[in-house]
Amino acid sequence: MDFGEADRLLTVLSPSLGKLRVLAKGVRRPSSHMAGHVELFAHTHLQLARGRDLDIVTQASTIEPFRTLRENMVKVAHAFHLAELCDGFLQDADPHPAVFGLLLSTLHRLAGDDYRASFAARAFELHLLREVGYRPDLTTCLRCQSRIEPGANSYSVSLGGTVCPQCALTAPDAGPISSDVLKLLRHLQRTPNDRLRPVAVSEAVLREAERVMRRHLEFALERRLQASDFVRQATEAMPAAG
Amino acid sequence: MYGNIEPVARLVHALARLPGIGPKTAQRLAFFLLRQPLELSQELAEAVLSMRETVAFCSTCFHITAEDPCQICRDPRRDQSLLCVVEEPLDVLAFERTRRYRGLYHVLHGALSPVEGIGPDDLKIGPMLGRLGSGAIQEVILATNPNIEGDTTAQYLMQRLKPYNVRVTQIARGLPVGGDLEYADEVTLGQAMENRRDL
Repeated sequence: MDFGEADRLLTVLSPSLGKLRVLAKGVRRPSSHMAGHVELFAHTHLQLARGRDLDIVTQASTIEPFRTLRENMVKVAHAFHLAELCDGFLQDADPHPAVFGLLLSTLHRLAGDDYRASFAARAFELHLLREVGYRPDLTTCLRCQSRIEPGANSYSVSLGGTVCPQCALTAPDAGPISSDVLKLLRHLQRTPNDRLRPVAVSEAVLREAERVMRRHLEFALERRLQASDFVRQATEAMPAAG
Repeated sequence: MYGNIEPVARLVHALARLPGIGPKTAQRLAFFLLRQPLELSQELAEAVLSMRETVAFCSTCFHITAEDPCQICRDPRRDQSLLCVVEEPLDVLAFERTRRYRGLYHVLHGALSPVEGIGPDDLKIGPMLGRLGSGAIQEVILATNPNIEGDTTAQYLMQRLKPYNVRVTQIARGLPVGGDLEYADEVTLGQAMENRRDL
């Protein structure tokens, strides 16, 4: 966010300090030594000086600029989505090294060519939800506690997961979820982040998974996700990259 | 805070709404004006009012102007085949200062920023595409800011410009005049190397 004459207010995620708002002075001038090192989504080494209200960036050097991200609108749209989720779910100055690692590895996946952007984003969402205490239950019916069998199951965001066909009739806000999407989400949730490998998934399944997860995330955050709209617009403009 | 001196409080409050001005600066400015001759305040007030009353956005390029269309759009000596797309009116002024560009402009009034909720519909993209209909414009130069939001905007425009028969270019990236290689970031330095040219 722009601040004052040529400064910028940055939101940074640090493995040891958590989410912080810091002031980068003079970075909007072309001659700034720091400007290129404090770009959005870059993995950067920052030296901060304690300020009265805000800490101030005194030195910055890039570790990984994720250059390929900025060359692809769909990838960058997904990166905005990850940033919005981290900003929404994490509290200021509450360290969360696992989320930091998750974000970093997901940005690497987005920047590379091996993973579909929406596949990497869904994996990120499920792991993030577990870390912050909103893990969806995808194996049992949250009404009758019976095991979810393949079939016409539903998903209820207010209950926080799956509901069996019988209970779906009375469950609040239960929307249908296909067996393929359930399989994909379970796979992503079960697989530790560092062992996740790309899997061939159809476009339709990815789209439905996105819809289910978006409803869940928006319910948990109690607000609309802004970047999701842009992800959709970007994917429509560049369908091959989604 | 100012006792019952309501006019002072009113001015401080109004000044503090300006970007980059906090309550303390607003207070300093207000007391400065109080100590100066009345003419300064009159001049300032008139300048602000006259600007707001006379200046509007050009209906063609959306740059600020006192007459519609603006001076640049009306000037027949400007190259009508070149269209430079920028984020803000201030960017037009910056390019005009270079005296190196003699084409036309189009001001988007922002850049795509999903986190701030600024989407394609919030920018002047439709009118820009509308200007390409006549076929006079041969080249569109994307001159958005070299940051993530600006690059994302350029990417989006590139996709939207594909169906039109125009050359789409982007202003060069590289090192600033007076810069120091040692402090340059990887992206800038990498682009400077890739876009090197023959001497």
